[in-house]
This record gives sequence, C-alpha cells and structure tokens, in this order.
Amino acid sequence: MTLLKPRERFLAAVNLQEPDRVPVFANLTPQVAEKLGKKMGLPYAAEDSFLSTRISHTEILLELGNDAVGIGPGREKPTIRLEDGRLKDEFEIIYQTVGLYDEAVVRPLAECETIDDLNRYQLPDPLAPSRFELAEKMVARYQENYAIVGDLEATIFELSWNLVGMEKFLMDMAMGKEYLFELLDRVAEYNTKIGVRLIELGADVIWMGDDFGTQQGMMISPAMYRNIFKPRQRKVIKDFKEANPNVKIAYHSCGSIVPIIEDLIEVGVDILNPVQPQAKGMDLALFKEKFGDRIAFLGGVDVQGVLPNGTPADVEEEVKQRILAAGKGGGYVLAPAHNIQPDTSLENIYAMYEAVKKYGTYPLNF
Amino acid sequence: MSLFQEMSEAVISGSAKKVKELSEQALAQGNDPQNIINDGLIPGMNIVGARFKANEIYVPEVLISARAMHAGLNVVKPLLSAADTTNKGTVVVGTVKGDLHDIGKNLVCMMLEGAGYKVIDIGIDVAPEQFVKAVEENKPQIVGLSALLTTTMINMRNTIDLLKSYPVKVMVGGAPVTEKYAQEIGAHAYAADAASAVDRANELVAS
Repeated sequence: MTLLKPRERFLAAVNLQEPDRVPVFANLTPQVAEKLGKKMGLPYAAEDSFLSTRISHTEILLELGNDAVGIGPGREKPTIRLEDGRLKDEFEIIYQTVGLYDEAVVRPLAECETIDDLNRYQLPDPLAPSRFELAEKMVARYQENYAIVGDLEATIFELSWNLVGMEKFLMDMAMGKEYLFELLDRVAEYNTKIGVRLIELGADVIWMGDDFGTQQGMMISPAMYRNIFKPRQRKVIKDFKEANPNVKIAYHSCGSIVPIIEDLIEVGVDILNPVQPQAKGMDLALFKEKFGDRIAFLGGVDVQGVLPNGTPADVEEEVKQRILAAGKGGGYVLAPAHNIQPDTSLENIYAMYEAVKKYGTYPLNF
Repeated sequence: MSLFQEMSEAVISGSAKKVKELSEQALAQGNDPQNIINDGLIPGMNIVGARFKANEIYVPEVLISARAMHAGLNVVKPLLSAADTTNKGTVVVGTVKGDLHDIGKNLVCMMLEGAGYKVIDIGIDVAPEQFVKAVEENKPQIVGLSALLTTTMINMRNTIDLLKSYPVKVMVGGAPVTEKYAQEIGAHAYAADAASAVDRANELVAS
C-alpha cells in the first residue's frame, strides 16, 4: 500500500476511518526539544517562549514522525520581564519561574467580587492582527502535507480561574457569585473569536480543553460541570462548527473525567485527549468499546511512568498496548498524555515513534 | 439541634459567617475553646472528608467548608491556652524543591487540620534542608511531601534521606506518586488523595 501523506493519515483517523497506519501527534517540553534539536541538527528554540509549547519545535517533531502541526494564537502584547525578574503577560498575570515551569503568582482578578469589579478588567483583543501572524505562516508552510491543529486549550474554565486564582475561583463558583458566570461568558467569547479565526486560517482541528480531572477523579462535581460548563462548551463548539462544518473538535482534560465523557460527546467533541493512563478509570480499551463509534482518541501513552522511567522495550510494549486498545478501525492518534518531560531519554522517544511504525501499520496484526 | 451540631452543619454547608457567629455564641455561653473545636468544628470537617472520599462532594465544596472551619478557628484559637492543645499531632507539609504546585498540598493541609492535626504548611519549592529545619523547629510526628512532576519526585527521595535520622514518619503524595514509588524511596505512607491522607496520618500516629 502506498503511504498516505501525514495530513491524510491524521484526518482519516480523526474521521474514524482506517488510515495506512496509526498517526502520531506528540509534543515536547523545551528541555527535550533542545536535546533533540542538537542531536538532529534542527532548530529547537520555541516560537515564543511564553506561548504553548504545543505550537513549537515543529521541524523536530515532523522529522521524528508527527503527522500534524500545532498552531495557536500569539500575543497582542509581548510578555515583559519586570524589574524583580518576574514575568507579566498580556492578561496581567505575573509569573515566577520555579524549576522547569513558569507559575502564576499574581492574578488580576484576585480581589474580584462583583460585576463592577470585573468591568474594571479588560481581556486583551482576541482579534489583534499580531495574534495570528505566526499561525498564518505555519499554515502556509505545512498545510499541504500535515493536518493543522489549532491549539486553544484553557478554553473556558482554566483561563477564567487563572485570572482569579484557583481556590478563590472554585469557592466563588460553589457560592454562585454572579461575576464568575459573566467572566466565564467573556472568556468563552474571547476564545471563540480566536478559534473561529484559526479555523478561517485553515485549522482542521480545534484543540479545546480545560482540566476537570485530578489523578483520582473529577475536580468539580459532574452536576456543577453540567450546570456551568456544558452549556458554554456547547455554544463554543456550535460557533466553531458554523465557521466550518468539517472542523473536528479535540477536547483536552487531564486526569480522571469518566463521568463527563458522554456529555462531551453530546456537545460535539470529536476527539478525546489525553486519556491519561494512570488517572483512575481512564481505560482506553474500555472507552474504545464504549465510545469508539462516536469519538476518536488522541493520547494514551504514559508520561507519569513508562516514558520517563521505562526502558525502550517498555516503551515499545506501551505503544503496542495502546494501539491494541484503540487502533482498530482508525479513530486513534497516538500521543504521550502530556508534553514529553525532561527526564525522558531520547532513546525512549525514538522507541515510541519506531513502535508506532512496527505495530500501527494497518491492517493491524496482533 | 445543639449549638455544636448546628456548627458542624454550618461547616458542612460552607457557611463561614454562620460558623463564626456560632463560635462566638458558644464562647459567650462559656464553652471551652477546645471543646468548640473538638465537638463543633472537627465533626463537621470529618463528614466533609468522608463525603469527599465518597465522591459526594468535590474540591469547591471542600474549600468552602475549610474556610468555614477557619472562620471558627480564628475566633477560638487565640483563647486556647498552651495546655489546651490536645491536637492529634503535628504535621509539617510542603511541596518539594523545584515544584510550585500547591492545590493538592493545600487540600491535604485543610483535611488534616479539619481532622484535628496541627498543620505547619511550609509552602512550595521546599528544599530538603528546609524540611529538616522545619522538623527541628516544630518537632512534628509526620512530614508530608507533595510533588506533581516526575522531574521533582526525586526530591522526595532526597528529603527522606535527610530526614532518616529524625524521629518522624514521612507521608508522600501527588499525581505521579504511587504506592510502589513511596516504598522505593523509603516513605512510611502513601496517600492517593487528601481524604486518605487523614487516614494514613491516623495510622502513622497510632503505630
């Protein structure tokens, strides 16, 4: 069988059709990208060190064997370094670098109690032209051969709580404070505008998301999710599909979110990500059986154990098991459940891509 | 309903204002501050913990209950005499070096406090030496270590190694941490979530 273009391979899989082999869409942490880039002789600098790493390291990832390219919104105003060394972004969130991550330490809505307070804060302009310059270039460069994934994780819940601070946000939500619902609407509208623009530019997939799971279960009750978030997700997805009926919606939520998967399908999610294997109940084989005729899966490879701590042989076995669980008939894009962490050996990364070729070629042969 | 029952109910429903008022009322009626904690606030948080564990309530509800409990503690704690501190034990808790994640750690602190422990939260990005210092200063029975990242889990091992010469039990938890890993690095207990952290702490102080 002639090999498909990566773009065709990826799109067939997310359309629940069987491609020539299981496609791959992995992402890297900057430390891993640097190691790989040096070894492969490819550029490894992030496109913008303060934007999602999911839109960076493209040349390395394609050389390794990714079938899709991540694009995403840039900034209207650049992130600035304050005199004390901390970073301030265009949302007015202040970050401190600790270890390998920048973590928010000052939130612009930390004191927000009322709609009046909220009105004193303005979200940036979602449609600022500078926000889409990079995305536009990347689409022009990669669209012919690769599927384009518009990264818009932190769609409603996460961007909102990032502005407020998580504990206050969760408490205010439990107490039903009015400002909070208005904030959720404004944030949803902000990201809807960005997503629609990414679709107009050529995104085949919009990768939405909000982390609703912890390692052990839901962070908020399924009822609270259904009352507060589900209607807003439904509207956002409707707007995306109006912009292009063929666009596929991938949904990212870390952790264990078993009770709401059916809800996500109902509001129009086409691809579930990342199906974090060590989170309670996130059983890819079971999900394939239960939901596999309605949604595709993106993810599944363990970044909390096998990838950083296993041997290349363990990684090969992990890939084999995930393909065995979800590969049948298409509908599966193999990916690590999070950006590959700095404690992962290059050998394990190569082993992952090799194993997909070995075990993921259709017809599957186990 | 007795005043203490009412206080427990208000903790469970997360009504900080009501817990504060009831705590003041209980003091005005001549109740012992320690009794207010033991018979009013802690029983409420015990139910919150049990419901959290049973997936009947989730993080937002636990947070408002913990805040309500604190509203009561703030009223009565200043009146406790040194002799009154009949808490179940002292626990030093922190997120290990290189790791800034604190949501899980904060929940553990709230649950432990709600179960009657004195909790010393030494924050995030805590170096092994800082844990040792906190142990020397506070003489806890238990040290709790939290980590979210596989890249920072190694600092749990480093901390445990340094704490070996001290008479404390070490409990670990956090998303990538497993029972197996806990055993490998010589921790005395592993807790998968905030509610089971209380169970593990109870076992450790009893052992």
